[in-house]
Amino acid sequence: MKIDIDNITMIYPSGKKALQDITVNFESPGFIGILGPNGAGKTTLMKLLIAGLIPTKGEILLDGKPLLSQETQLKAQLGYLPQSFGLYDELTVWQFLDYMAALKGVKGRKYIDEALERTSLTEQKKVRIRNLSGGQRQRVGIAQALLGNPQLIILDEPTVGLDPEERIKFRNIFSEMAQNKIVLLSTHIVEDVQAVCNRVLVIYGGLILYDGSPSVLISDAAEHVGTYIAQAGDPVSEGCRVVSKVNVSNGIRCRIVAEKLPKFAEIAEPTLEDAYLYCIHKEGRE
Amino acid sequence: MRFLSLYRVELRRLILTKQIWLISALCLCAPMLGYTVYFPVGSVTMSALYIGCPVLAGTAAGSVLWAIAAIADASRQFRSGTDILAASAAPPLAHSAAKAAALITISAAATILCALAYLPFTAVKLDYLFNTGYYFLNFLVFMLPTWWISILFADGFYRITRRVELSAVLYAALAYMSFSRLAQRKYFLRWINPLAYAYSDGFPDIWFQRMGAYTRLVWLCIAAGVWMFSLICLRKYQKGLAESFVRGLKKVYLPIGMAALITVGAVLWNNQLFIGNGADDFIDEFILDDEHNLKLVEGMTGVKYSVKVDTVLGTLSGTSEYRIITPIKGESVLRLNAGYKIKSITYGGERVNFRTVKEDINGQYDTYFELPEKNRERLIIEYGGFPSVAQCHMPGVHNSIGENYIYLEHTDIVPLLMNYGLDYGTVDFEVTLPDTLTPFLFFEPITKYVQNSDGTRTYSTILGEHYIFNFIAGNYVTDTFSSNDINFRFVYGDVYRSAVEEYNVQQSICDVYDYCTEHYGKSPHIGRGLFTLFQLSSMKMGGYATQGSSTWFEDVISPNILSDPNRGATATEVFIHEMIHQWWGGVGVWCENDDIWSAEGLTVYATYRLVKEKYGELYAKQYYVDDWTRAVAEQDRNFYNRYPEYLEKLPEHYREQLSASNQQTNHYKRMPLMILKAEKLVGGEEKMDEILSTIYSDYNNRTDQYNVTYKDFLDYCGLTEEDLKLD
Ligand SMILES: Nc1ncnc2c1ncn2[C@@H]1O[C@H](COP(=O)(O)OP(=O)(O)OP(=O)(O)O)[C@@H](O)[C@H]1O
Ligand SMILES: [Mg+2]
Repeated sequence: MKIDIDNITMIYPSGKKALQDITVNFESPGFIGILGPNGAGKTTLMKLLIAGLIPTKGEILLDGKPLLSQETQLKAQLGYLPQSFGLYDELTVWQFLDYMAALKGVKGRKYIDEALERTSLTEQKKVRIRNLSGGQRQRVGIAQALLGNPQLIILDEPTVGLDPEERIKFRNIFSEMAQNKIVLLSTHIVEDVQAVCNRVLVIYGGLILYDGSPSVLISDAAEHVGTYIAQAGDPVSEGCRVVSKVNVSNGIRCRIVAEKLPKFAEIAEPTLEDAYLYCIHKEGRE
Repeated sequence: MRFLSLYRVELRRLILTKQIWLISALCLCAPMLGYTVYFPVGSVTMSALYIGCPVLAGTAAGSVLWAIAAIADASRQFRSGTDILAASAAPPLAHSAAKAAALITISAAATILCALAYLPFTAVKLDYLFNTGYYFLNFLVFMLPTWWISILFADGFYRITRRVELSAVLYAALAYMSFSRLAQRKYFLRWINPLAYAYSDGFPDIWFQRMGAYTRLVWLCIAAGVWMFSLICLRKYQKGLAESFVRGLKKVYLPIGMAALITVGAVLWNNQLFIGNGADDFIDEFILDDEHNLKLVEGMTGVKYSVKVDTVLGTLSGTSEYRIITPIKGESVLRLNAGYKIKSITYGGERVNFRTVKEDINGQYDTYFELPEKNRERLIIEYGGFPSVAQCHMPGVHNSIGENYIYLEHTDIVPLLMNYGLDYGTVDFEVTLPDTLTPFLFFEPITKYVQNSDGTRTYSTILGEHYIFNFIAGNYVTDTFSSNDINFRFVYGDVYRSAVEEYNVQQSICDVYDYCTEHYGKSPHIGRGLFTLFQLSSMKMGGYATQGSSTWFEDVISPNILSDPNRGATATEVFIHEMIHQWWGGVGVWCENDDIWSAEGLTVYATYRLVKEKYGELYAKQYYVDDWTRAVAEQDRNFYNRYPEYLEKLPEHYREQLSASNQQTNHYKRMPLMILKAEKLVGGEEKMDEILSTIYSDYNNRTDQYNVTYKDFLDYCGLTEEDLKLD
């Protein structure tokens, strides 16, 4: 499967330009993490990919054909977890997955059992959705996206509301699945991406700031990450962005990213998170 | 197929939804409204009360419930966001169709449950009158499709507006239209409360069911068209209504399907056969017609009418053969029921061209043609079709051709050749109909017949003059008996045989006849010493009284009426009461109907007098005078009657209820008591009988159908209103 996004611009009826001249391709196998702050345009990009929106300009091709003419084929191969969605409260987990499987035309209990198992919901399968916790509901959402082994999986912030243990588990499941398909995952939790994605897109203000492997993103940030000890009330130096602050015995250890580190900062090894923030920070300053 | 699997899924989901169970349960209860508060059927036969009212109430109330179900389900999916997941999984158009189909299926299951749930009760209530097929037919024709129509409208409205309150307003407006004044004239507008004005026990007729099925079909087309329109409006790509609509149009099968459905609906509506397309009001112009400036000539030696009815289709086909001496010059005019088409007109074997006018008058229309100038030839007119009912006549006078009952009048059965006056020479009349039905021409039985091999009989009769036709056939039985100088022919529905025996109807007829003749005078209806009492189907509203015969409504010997304690102490007395109406009431002397005065007062008084003669003074006092006194006292004790100033504070509903109950008491109890008082004031029973006899001879059978008022009565008694005030 191959998806070509060709020079797309998306302007909402309100006049908000959510994406601007985006060109990007996805090919299976591939596990792509989409990083970006709130309002960056991640959800918009995903909605465009599932034919939930029509781009204002540009075109999306699915295996070389316009996406909108391929809606049926697309839906047959798609597993989609929207950022916000609803479930039928009065159904049990199993009934709901059964319903979604039937809507998708997926036949066989084994797919439902498999999805339940992957999302650790086997025990809850007879529980009504009304009685689930927030994280469990999110997992039901993920489970329905996994039904029937789809070739294209698009997950909009799948790990929201999950406890750390579950998050780690899901990362592994996703990466396992990405062996032979396209998995797109949006998040602002960098760790999710770092662990498993072989490709990162950084979106900011409707633009793609970075498209490549996580390691290159990290190496781009080398010498732009530093730490120093500050005292409470100290102003942050101009051009720096504080990534984290940790209280230590002799003050506050600040970790910063900057195009040009101040002299007093000690250069540190960048993590993906640093690199991502640096990437955005750099953009913001330009 | 994708649709089928989606349909199965949605069906399963709905079955698991609590609200749907709630709605279904309420739908099961809805027919009870027809026992208690909603009485859309005019007649009071058993099938009206226990089939018509509950089915129609369930139809209307259930429709609203299903609309709520459709809107609630759609809006829940939209607001909770389950539709986002669904849209990513299934094609939205097929999915929408599957959802509607699933709800429609559930409503169909609910109809079946509903029919089964009320079956035992209805069967017990109707007893020997119960007919299983007829019972289910009513659910099938009225309830099932109306619920579907309702679901399609509601689902469509929500998809178009995406707003609960807007959909509700649209739906309410549509439902209001169905109940509005306009719909009282334009019956086809009644989509949620189909018209079924009468239900007959003795002569079950499916005229209203036929029209019901037809109007349901029309409305199904319209509703499906609206629903198709909503599919065009289906929101996609987060676009608004207008843009989604333009995109929807690109799926050409949607606008084409919608247009096709609406067109079929409109064509069906326009070409309906049930109700004439003429004026809403009765136009008093029947035979002579100045406008056409017709010359009447007497140029015929005879006519032969042959008519064949198809009781399954409800149609008639006929041939009229006129033996003309000299055709009139210029155009001849032929008048026929608006539902019939003229197939051919020939004169002396030659085809004659004709033209018709579209506008009909009172459910009839005219055809014009010119005859060639040849003398002594046969004019043959072939015609046929489904007889329609005049708009203005509904739901009163009513023609119909059904398996159990045929009622046809005038141009419903034979054409009227207008320029030749009424002297047609000898008239041969021949009619072919199933051998289960007994035919009557103007209440006279037609006895001569030939049995045909296809289960029909061809009856024939010769009339000395040209009748104004009134043809009835049904499952009738005829009893003949006599009292003193009079022979009675009592014609009634076969199913009433046991009731007639049980309630001693024959004896009552004789008693009443003797009593009324002795006290009020001979009925001028009676000729040749034979009096025909003819029971009409309740489909046919309105009574007749002519030379030698008198008709009455079916309802009069309905078990339901006979057990109404308001009308007499026992069922037999109820029958006496109804029979007296042949003297005082719709037939005989007509009475004004106001708050206090009506034909009931005189009828109840006369019943009391008859009963007194028959069973003695004690009995009459106990069951009549004491009963009236008690009821009147109770009415006077009523708080709101004593303090009418508080009445205004009551909600209108209660005020209406109270005034209806007051009127009932006034008519049936107070007025008889007042007449009793008048009797004392004028000097006793004999004097009162004289007065009534004078009134009877002065007003009976007046051609202007004058209504005798309370004031007239007082004048005859020489009394004032003040005199008869009860204290
Ligand atoms: N339906 C809409 N109409 C108008 N503007 C919208 C609409 N949806 C999103 N936007 C705007 O488009 C921009 C991109 O939104 P989008 O939802 O794609 O962001 P995101 O990257 O998914 O953010 P988040 O991390 O908060 O989910 C935002 O500025 C948002 O306000
Ligand atoms: Mg988002």
